[in-house]
Amino acid sequence: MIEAIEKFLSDLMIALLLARVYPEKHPKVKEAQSKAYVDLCALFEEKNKLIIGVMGDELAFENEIFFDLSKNVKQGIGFLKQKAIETITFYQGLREEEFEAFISYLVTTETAKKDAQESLVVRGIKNISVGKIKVSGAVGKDELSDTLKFLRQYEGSLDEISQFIDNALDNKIVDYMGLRFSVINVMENLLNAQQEFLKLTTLKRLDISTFVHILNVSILSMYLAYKMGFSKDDVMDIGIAGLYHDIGKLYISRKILAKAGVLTDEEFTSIRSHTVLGAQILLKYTDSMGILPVVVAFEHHLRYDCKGYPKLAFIQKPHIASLIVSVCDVYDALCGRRTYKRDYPPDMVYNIMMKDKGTAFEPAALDKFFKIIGVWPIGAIVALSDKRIAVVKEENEDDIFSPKVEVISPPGSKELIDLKEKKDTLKIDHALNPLAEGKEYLELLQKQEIKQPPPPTPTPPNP
Amino acid sequence: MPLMDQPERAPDKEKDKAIEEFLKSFKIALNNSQIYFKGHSLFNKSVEGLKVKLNILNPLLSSPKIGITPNSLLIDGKFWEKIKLYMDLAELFHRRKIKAIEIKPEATNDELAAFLTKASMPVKDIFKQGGLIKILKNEGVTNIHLDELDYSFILSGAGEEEKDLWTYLLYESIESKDAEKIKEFSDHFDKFLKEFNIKELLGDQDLKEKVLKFLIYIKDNDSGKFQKCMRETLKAIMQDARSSDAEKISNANALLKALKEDNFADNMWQEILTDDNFDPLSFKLFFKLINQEKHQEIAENLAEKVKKEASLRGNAHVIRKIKELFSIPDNPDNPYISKIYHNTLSFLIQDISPSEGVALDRALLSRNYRFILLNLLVVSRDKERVTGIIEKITAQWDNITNGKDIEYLKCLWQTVGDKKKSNSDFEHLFDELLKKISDYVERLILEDQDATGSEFFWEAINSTTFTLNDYIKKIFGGKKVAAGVLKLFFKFFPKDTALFYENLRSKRNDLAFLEVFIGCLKALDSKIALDALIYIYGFSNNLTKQEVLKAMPEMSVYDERFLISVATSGTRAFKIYALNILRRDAEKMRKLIDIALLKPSPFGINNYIILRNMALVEEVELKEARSDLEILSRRKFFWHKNVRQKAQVILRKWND
Repeated sequence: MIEAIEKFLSDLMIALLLARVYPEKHPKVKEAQSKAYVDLCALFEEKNKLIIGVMGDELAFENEIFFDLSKNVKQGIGFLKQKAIETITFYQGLREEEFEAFISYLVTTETAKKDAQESLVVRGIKNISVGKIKVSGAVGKDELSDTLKFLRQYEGSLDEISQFIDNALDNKIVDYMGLRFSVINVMENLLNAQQEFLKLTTLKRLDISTFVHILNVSILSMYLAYKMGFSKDDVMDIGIAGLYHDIGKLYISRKILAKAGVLTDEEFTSIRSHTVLGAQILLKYTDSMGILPVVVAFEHHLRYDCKGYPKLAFIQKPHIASLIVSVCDVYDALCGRRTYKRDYPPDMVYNIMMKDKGTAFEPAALDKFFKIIGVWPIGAIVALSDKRIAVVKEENEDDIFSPKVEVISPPGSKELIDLKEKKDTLKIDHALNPLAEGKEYLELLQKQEIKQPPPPTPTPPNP
Repeated sequence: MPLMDQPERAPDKEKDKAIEEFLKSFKIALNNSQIYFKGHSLFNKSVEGLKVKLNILNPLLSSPKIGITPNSLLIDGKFWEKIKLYMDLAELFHRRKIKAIEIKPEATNDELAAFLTKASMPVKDIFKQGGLIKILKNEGVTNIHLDELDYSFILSGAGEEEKDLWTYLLYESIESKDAEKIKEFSDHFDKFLKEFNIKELLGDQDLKEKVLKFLIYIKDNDSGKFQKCMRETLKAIMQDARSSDAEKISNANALLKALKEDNFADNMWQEILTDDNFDPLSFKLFFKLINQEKHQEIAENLAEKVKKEASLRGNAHVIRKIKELFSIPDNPDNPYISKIYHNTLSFLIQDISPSEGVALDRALLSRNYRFILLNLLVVSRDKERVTGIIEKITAQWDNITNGKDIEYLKCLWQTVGDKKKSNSDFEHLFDELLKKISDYVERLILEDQDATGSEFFWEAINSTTFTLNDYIKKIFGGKKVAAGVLKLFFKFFPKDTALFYENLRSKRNDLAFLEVFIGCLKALDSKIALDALIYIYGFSNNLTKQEVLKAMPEMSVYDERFLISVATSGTRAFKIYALNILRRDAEKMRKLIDIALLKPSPFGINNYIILRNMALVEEVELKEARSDLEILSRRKFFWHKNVRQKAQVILRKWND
């Protein structure tokens, strides 16, 4: 019996993983679902219900803990934890459609904020129930702020993607399923909490890690693509291409990149050839990753008017995916500090890029980008015209110069202001560099975000 | 033990050191138990060492229990984690389903040895024998106590029900009318709804009334909280209604009594904007939930809200959502209602530019990729790399051929040609690819009458995979022929003209075919094509002959004999055609004039011919014949009068 349950759980986890990576009706998904369902039906011949527990990172059934299996199916367990599911009860009489709907639900983007059991009911799943482990005694939960949670996820993504990039650089196999899974997670974080996750991309960092830039470009590209109306699959493909757009540069000696002085002609040619080099590296991975990363790596410096590099024997207009990544690449590069240049304030970045609209940048993509990012991006610390200091909280797409801001200084003057509604009286004067004059305000903000009051728990009645 | 006899608690540093020493010793002993048999001197030594550490440690601890988590140890209230030693020990016992270990001070070396030996057995063997606790019991180990990790009691379900709590809060807030309690309850109203679900709520008359009372109270006292709670109620009803029957839906109306039309509009709009799960089914349910007469006003309110948010017209996701909502067929119960909302929301989806809801153009992507490969091929010098690129290009073959991308093939052909010349190593590297291209383009030319852009390959292709009969069939089997097919035929079967002409003659009555054929021959502009044209002239009627002669001036080649013959014996119009071609070559024209056109005859026997030809000369302005005309203009004798006069007229005209 235990072996049969273990097999069922293993097949269930495989089905989850495949459902996450492939579209819903994909034959591989269907096959995996059917296999797991058959396993389950066999178990119902002995028991009329099956209760599975998710204890930390381990799956359990009655007093059996599936240690080995749990180690191998971390990603699948992750889906359950994401939905705050700690127990799953399968009832005899469960139909295959319900089972498939359950799997589809588990891989959706709904998070723990939506009650899992309610979500099952809505989907007509009557023979599966899910829930949390009920323990006696009310326990107050001290939750991390969303910001810190996303920061952890962002940094976790950073670790993961650096591994995928390193594998390509070392000519090793790239686990495409794992890569897609990581990018799905990034994308879903982005779609579920755009403001919070985007803020992380505009965070000024002292580390000038290329991986940070790569991840930022990936996130920004996905966001722009999403807002331009691309499907989720296309958004994800663009995200993956964004991750690898600069892989050629990573190949080139870090000494050259980190050099503070002027590059020699030879060194400069090396940097420019990173697009060709990147495409050549990624050609080895077209079977797993497709051709989009190759195209984006090659084209992202070509420019909209094809006057960029590399110089081509056969000129083709860059693909829209490359043009999207190009906008995001340049934006992130201008915003960031490097050994060879300082970081620019947001309004200067806007002006620099807008000058090249229609030449370097595809006009619709550039316009859309600043509509959603705003001139003053989310998280930017700004000085208002009345000398107060505020942080940008939300963009106004129809007025990119007048976002919603929250005042953070002077202390005690906390206020949420929609600058669009105060156009005549209040505006942003300039941005404060959080690594320089804005540092004290950044620290202030970070303290505020960590310190969050726990949600009130109802007082139990007197017996 | 009396308080004063109890040892003072050691400072933490000393205790931590003792714990660490103990754990190290524990790990060594476990390792040795795996390597050596029980009783081995080295193993015994490590057991003794462990005992010593235990004796030092036990007095320092307030509790001798060691807690085990998947990746850490809990000793005396402190977690020992993140270091490999601690994590390894934790994992070892966790995998053996041990959640706590207590080694009493009275534990003997033998008991320790037994414990270590059994604990280091393979996991499967341990469980086969019933678990570590049972094994130690069988071994007679009494001073080492293990707690088993067992989740079964948790999984069978236990714990407080929170529902009573919420009911209590609801009642309290209503009875007391305490602002704080009401605020607290309304802040958590969504959790209350989750606990009960709508079915339970509606089924319990008392509860239902209390909820209504609460809603009415906050409506009068706190409109903001009221909006929030009503939105949550509406959402809960709709979610529940998705899996409920119609009767339950109508019952739910009771809860919605407090809502006005603008509240409904507001709620619907928020759902459209923010809830990904608000789909056509939700929309349908919405129709059903609300009384029919309210819909018009709700729609009008909705329209007002929507119009205020002009920026949404550019929001691809809102647009997509609205389009999706209207993709369902009209509500069969009341199609009128769908129309109301359709009209309200449809202005948002008017004037949508084609770029809204875009897709990644995969065909274009594929094309860009192919050209990238080509560009990489240009810059690559390494044979291995070049081979790799060729493989990638070949892998794209289906995309190339499905799109009939002849332009790409032309670029590829040229690039490969340049590559071959640049390096002798590449001499035969591309043979297979070139053959593939050649075969494909030839097939395309033969099968596709509209192989635009294939002209380059008429010269480039050097071999054929088809037979003479294939070509004959292709040329003469259909209603029309393409120049490319003829070109290749003449190239590959230059000596097989007999069959060609035989078939061509058989088409002499197919004027439409011949017209196209002539056009193709003209386009080929070669000697062999010219011969074919002359052949056609030979068997054709005047209409077709004219077509032949019309085609010839546009060719760079011409047949002198043929043209002279036409110029001298054809119809007037034909003569003009012939003359216009011949005049390209002064020598040939001279020859024609001398031998045929204006050659005088004794006694003017052929003056009527000369006059006729002079009319031609005049019409085509054949100034090359000036000298001859001058001679004719001075001819004596009366029988040459007409010729003389005509020549003078023409000369005068030319001189003007």
